[in-house]
Amino acid sequence: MAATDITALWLTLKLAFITSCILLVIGTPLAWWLSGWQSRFKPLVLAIVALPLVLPPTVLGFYLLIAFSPQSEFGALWQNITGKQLAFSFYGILLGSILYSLPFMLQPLYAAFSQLPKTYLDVAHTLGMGKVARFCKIVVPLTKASFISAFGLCFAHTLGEFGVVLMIGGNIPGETQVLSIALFDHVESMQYQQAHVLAAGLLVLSFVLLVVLYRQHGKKAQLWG
Amino acid sequence: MGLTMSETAHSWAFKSKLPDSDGNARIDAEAELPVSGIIGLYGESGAGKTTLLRILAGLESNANLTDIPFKRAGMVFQQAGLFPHLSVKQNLQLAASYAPHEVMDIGELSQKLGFSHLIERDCNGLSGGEQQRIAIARAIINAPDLLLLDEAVSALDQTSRINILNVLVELSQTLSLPMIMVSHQLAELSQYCDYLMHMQAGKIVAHGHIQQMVQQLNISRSSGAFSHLQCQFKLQHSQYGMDEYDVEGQALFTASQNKPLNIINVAASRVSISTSQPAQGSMLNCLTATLSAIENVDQYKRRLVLQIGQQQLLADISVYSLEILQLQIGMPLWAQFKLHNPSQFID
Repeated sequence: MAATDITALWLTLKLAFITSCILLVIGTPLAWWLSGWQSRFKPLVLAIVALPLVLPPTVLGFYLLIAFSPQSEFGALWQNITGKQLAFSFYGILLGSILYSLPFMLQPLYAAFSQLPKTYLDVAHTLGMGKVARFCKIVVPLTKASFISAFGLCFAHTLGEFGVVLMIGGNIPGETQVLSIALFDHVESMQYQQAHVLAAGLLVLSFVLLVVLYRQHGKKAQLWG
Repeated sequence: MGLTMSETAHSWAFKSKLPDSDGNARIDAEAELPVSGIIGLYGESGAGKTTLLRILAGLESNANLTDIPFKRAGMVFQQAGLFPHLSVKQNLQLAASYAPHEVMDIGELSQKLGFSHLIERDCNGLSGGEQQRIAIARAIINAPDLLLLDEAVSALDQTSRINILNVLVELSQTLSLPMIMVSHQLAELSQYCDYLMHMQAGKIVAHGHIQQMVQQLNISRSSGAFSHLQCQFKLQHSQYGMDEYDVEGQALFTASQNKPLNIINVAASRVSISTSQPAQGSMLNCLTATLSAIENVDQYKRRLVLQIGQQQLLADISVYSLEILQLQIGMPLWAQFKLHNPSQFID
């Protein structure tokens, strides 16, 4: 495995891990709020957060590239604060990954929170438990498997990210060149041996992750099924 | 919208309104209730009983619950709602950790409610009845000052239900814990409650002491009529499997019950009338009475209202029998009947 490939592997794992962690922090309260929110605008909000599931990655990447460029207000603000441009940087692809992987965190958590029998929360309320205690002591343990699923799905999805990263990050080794782009690079250069190593590595890693997730799914079904 | 309370030494009153999605009153209920004992809440499905309990428990955010004398209303739901990630003991310990003071030892309470052998078990795999016992214990150990029971014993079999209801009566007294108990079974409520609220279409249409309410509710029953005789337990004839009661100074026999009854329900269709004292027979219950009224039931049936001391006994007879016996108001009569289900409304 070439040094650039090892760098790409490290960058990919770092991107996937940080993306999943940030989405866990953002997605949990968002999913909890959505599960209890009753409004005629709810389908609209659910559709917006689920858009990355159906949108071609290049579409999202294109709009993010425009938003991240120094010509846009957001991009200019970022550059003023950090001194670096957001497009074609690690932070750019991180922000893109967060938006692109949001539904993969949100959907399992939203489904788990929505399906949680309301009686548990009513009981906890009548026992005198406050909102935070109800969430931490009842909701989180009962939906633990969904948290693991959501984190794993985000991680796995970010591992395989290509279109969005290529659009907003380009192909800069050590900065934005993730495994999928390094693989594309090897194929473009007809370095099939290196391409095989990366492709097989991604395949095995993704497969193992999915096996672990499905095992967790089975445990969740047992918990209150 | 809102709930206002007036409190005296022996009673408290509530007034509550909860709108539905169209702004109409889903619940518009008020009543004055005793501050101790067990209060029954009776009504048909959809009358709003559960919603009223939820308002009192503070679970309905659209209804304002203000200034009730009970700051901690515990509730046992139709579904036990034991937390499945915790063991039985952990469920109880969690509830105890939120109690302002210790009510009772977990071991003692589990013994009383008959699940001490399950204390170390996971909640998964327990029967509905076992779960409900644990849910009751969990609510009690949380030290509420009002306990709301929403069909809490409906998942239990008859014997377990009677056992648990007896324990609830005992705990209500020993812990000075008032309870509001929802049930469809008027007979059950009549045995265990001191007071009764009758709910229809979101309103408390009547409330009062249990004897008064049971009489009142019977009048509105569309099916067969029942008399509700207040009685005092005298003795148990265990060799015959029978209990003897006193009703207005006269003896009345029933098959042995799990607990002494306060009220005996007698189906009007089961009462036989004689104008002279019957000779010795197998029907042990024979009460002397005075005919105080004759009411029409339908074209071929009449209902006799018999006065027995301060109480009334109803007897349904045919028009043919009425004519043969030549019954007249004020006549002394002998009423005979067998009691198969004295605590139930089973004809």
